[in-house]
Amino acid sequence: MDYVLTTSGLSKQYRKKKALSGASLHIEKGAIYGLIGPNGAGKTSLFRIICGLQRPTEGSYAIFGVDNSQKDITKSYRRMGALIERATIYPDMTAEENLRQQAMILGLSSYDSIPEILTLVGLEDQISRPAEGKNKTEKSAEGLNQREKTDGAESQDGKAAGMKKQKEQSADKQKPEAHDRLLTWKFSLGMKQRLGIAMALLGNPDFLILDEPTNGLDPQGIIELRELILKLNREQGITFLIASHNLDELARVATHFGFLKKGELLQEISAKSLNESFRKCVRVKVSDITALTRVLDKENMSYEVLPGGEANIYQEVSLSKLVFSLAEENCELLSSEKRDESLEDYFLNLIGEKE
Amino acid sequence: MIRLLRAGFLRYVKNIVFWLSVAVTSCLAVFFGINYGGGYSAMAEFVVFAVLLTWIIGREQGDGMFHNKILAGYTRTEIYFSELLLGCGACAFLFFIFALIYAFVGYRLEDVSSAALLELLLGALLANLVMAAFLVALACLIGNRYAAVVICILLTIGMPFVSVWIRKPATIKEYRTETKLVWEEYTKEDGTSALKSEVRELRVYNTAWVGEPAYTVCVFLYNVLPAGQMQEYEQAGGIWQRKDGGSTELYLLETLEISEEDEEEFLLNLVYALIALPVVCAGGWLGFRKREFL
Repeated sequence: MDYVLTTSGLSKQYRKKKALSGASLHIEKGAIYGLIGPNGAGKTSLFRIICGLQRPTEGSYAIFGVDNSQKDITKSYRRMGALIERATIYPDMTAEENLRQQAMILGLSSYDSIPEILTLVGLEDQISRPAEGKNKTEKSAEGLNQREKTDGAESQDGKAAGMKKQKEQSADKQKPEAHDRLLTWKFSLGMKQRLGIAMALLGNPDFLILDEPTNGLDPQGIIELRELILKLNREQGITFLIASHNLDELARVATHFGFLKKGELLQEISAKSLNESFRKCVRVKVSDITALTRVLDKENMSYEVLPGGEANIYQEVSLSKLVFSLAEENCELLSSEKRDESLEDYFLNLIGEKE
Repeated sequence: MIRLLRAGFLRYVKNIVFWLSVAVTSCLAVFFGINYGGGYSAMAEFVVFAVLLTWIIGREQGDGMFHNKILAGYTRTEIYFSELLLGCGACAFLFFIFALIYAFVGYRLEDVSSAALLELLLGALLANLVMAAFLVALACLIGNRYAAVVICILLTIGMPFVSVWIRKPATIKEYRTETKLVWEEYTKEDGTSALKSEVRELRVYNTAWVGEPAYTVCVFLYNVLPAGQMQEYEQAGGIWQRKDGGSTELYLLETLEISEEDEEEFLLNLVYALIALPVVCAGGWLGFRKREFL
């Protein structure tokens, strides 16, 4: 199996705290790996170590097969992009200038990709000139605005089309767009985050590390980012390592998961295996929870009592039989629904178990 | 590393603080060219260096630009030496502006020996580079931008005072030579006694002598500290001289004069600076290599 990143017993000790304790990750090429953990679990410490910003106290890691002790590890870093905690940008420059500066550092031969990348992350209004030619403009708008068209978001569609038309007219007239290009210190948190993602994408990385990428993004931005991740993974085969507290969002994109708690990697699991292991249940609401527990105990059923007169029953249950049994106890079944365990439930159970 | 240098060069050139530093340096050069600096013109110049370097390098740190460079695949060595070259280059540029304006305003250069002038310029440049390298090292090693600014400015202000403070013990040797008129009685040929006078050079112990190893330490520090060196360059045969007879009044020299003793001193300063520069660079590099970025 081809791994982009493997860590072996990675540990990090700060003065009084052990941030990582023997973490061993395996990230396959082409995967979208979701790293989940509570605050202080060691996610950011892990990211800093594998990006070369800090050194591990114990253990090792390998990126694209190159061990961190080898000098060639810098070549592996060049194949990576990362957004860790916050976007690292010059506040006294515009978005485009920041990307140009980064392009210079990366040794990119031209700045042609900058307008496309800015459009890709939703910062097209920070481009000084529209992308040259109609085809490129349409192509760069594909990543985001096209999807919203198919979803039938007409107001957004109209706005995007209007913007596109404006850009094309301007391109035709060969005048720079009269956008208000801001210095990045004036950016909102979401805009900075988008620019940070753009900076990470600039070098055409094969492996992208994103630490809380949805931080500061509005709901539309979160959807756009999800679609961008899926698109890049599908079309360019970019491998992702994403840490996020937004488990619902992560569940929609990740192909693999790693669960981290107090510096320890509790479990690594593929999304497919995770879905299979999710516990299915029937959630019922009754008028007398005590009566319900008596009935379920008689049938030796696995269940969990919830507040508000509700309970999860983790076995196949015949509702008609249940209703009759409850009626004998003078208890009424108010509602029932089939549910799957969510990623959040799974995670909470996992860290609860390990305690 | 060339990419880093190119990117960094543009960063300096586009930064308003750099151009403000050029303007302030020019004004300082005019001011000290006209007024006697007492060796403190170097302090003023070094404060400009400190502000410029901690501002630019400090922003690199604070905004996470070092992160970007490491992620782009550059080693800590490449990053440090690119910052060092850029910082020293910027300070050398400021030094040349200062020296040019200072010489134009202050010196009369008609009868100046070019060898002496070259030695003076080279020595002063090296002293400035040592200071710049020291400030770059501090700016790169101190994680907090504001702490770096405060520490660097305090050091640059404090250094000339330290130099002045150690100058006295560094210049007082264990013995001084005193000429004394000594009367000796002698017997004449006719048998009568008479007195004859003789001027003798006597070796007299200096009570202000600080003793060893304090003397050696003071001499070494005074010669090595950039502020001390700059004070010597400014004062020795500089534009101002005290009037003869020990008067406290100063007058403007017609031409730049450097005595043989000063020339020897300058040569020694050159050697010290040539030793200090790689030591400071290496020290900063070794510290930066170990740095972890939070």
